[in-house]
Amino acid sequence: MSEVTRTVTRQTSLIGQRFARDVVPALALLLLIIGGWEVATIVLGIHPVILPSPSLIVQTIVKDWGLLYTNMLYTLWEVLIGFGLGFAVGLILAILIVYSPALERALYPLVVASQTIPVFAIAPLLVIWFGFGIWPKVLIAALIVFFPICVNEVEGLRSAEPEMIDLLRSLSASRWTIFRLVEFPASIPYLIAGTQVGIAYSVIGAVIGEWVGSSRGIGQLMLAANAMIRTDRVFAAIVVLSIVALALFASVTLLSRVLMPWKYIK
Amino acid sequence: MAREHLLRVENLSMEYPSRDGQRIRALHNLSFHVDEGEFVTLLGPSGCGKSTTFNIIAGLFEPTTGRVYLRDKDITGQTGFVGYMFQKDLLLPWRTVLGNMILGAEAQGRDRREARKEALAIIERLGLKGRENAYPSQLSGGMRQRVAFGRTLLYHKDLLLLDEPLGALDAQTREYMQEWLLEVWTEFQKTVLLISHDLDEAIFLSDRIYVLTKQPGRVKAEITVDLPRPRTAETRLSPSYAETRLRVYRLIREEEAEI
Repeated sequence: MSEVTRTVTRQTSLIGQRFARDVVPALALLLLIIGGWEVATIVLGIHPVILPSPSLIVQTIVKDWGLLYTNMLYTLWEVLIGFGLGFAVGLILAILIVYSPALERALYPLVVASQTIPVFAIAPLLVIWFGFGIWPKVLIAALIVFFPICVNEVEGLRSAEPEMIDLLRSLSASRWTIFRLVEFPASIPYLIAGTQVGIAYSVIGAVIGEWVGSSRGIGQLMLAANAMIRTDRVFAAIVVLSIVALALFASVTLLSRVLMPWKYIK
Repeated sequence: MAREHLLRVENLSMEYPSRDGQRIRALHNLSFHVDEGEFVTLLGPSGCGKSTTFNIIAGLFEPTTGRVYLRDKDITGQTGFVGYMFQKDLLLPWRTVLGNMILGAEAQGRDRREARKEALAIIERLGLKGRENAYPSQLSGGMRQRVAFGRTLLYHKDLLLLDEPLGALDAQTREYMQEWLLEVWTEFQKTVLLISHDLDEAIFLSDRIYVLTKQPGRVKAEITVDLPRPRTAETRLSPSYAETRLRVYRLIREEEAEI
């Protein structure tokens, strides 16, 4: 218990130090760009329909918050369910591929082939099959997510040292015990790397799904705003979407620190 | 007629096909024994099939011919009878010192809490006090081997197979760790079968040494080391040590000259 608390405390102070070093420069650059953008729109007299100023975008976010928030929540659901599904499928496929040579030969080409099909081409089909509800978006997100999860996890499950497996075999450990004590834990860093890629992709997947056919969600809101030439609202939606994606990515990073304290220890 | 040996290896031969289709003979009629409480070393050049022998005794490989007996029970090709410590420390980076030490107990399906208690009880005697919650990446090579040895102790096996456990350490740490190994061996009263290609290590540690031939591995000579115990750093300087060393040295040179 106290061991965990101590680790978490140490992680927190580490994050504090990192913040000053890594985040401050990025933040300064971002502020500089936003400032330049704001000045440019005023000085050059750019019409808000062409390019709204950052201050106008902020105003729109505040004014349209109710609209943005409900649609954001809907998209977030699509993302999380889609990611969860993709994660589960990717993980199961990876385990099947690693533990059955026959299944590896059967599955791996299909897994790779699935990534050669442009998502934009499948999206309309999924809408035809599953309608305008949440499922086409969830499936598109899952379809994009499962691949990095599966490929990384296959490599991760194979990353354990062969002598380590011999060691457990010499103790008459079962296949399942070896998986539980060595192979699966060894794959966790790989799984997290896959998750970091996958979670960012899943947001893109959900929005693509909404563009093809939806009545709700941030992507749908963007399309509608575009049609009404509400450029400020398009930008407001983009900002909200970016924040959601960043927050998801940050959660995964935080999770990796909790799951793998040994990786961050000096 | 004689008292039973703890381990008896009889006429072990191992052949396997090489990449170009020829058959490689790793072992040929290898026979030796280890008695209860003994420290025995298989001394031989690299490539004489020492590790193969261990893999057979541990039950990981099936020999081409020959049998392995533990207290007269045939254990050829069966796992779970001996404590096998590999050349690499093989500590899991995501487990702490304590977590690594109880790995074998967990693999055997024993109670985790019991095993932790047991590990904590021996951690001081292994020289690991205060490092219970350290991760392997925070430990030196010598420390890591102590943890690996502690893990092997907790398998609850009477016979420990140590495959050059000190091979990767620098010369000074190595001598120090040899003394440490003798201390814990005396303290925990285990039987040890060690693999080594280091003459001094073999003499300093062992009751008996089997000098092996190059490929295929066979017993070339059996040498009883009469140096009194407990052995300390000074033992290495005694006349009888030098005498034994010369005897073994000649045997090894002879073996090398044949190639």
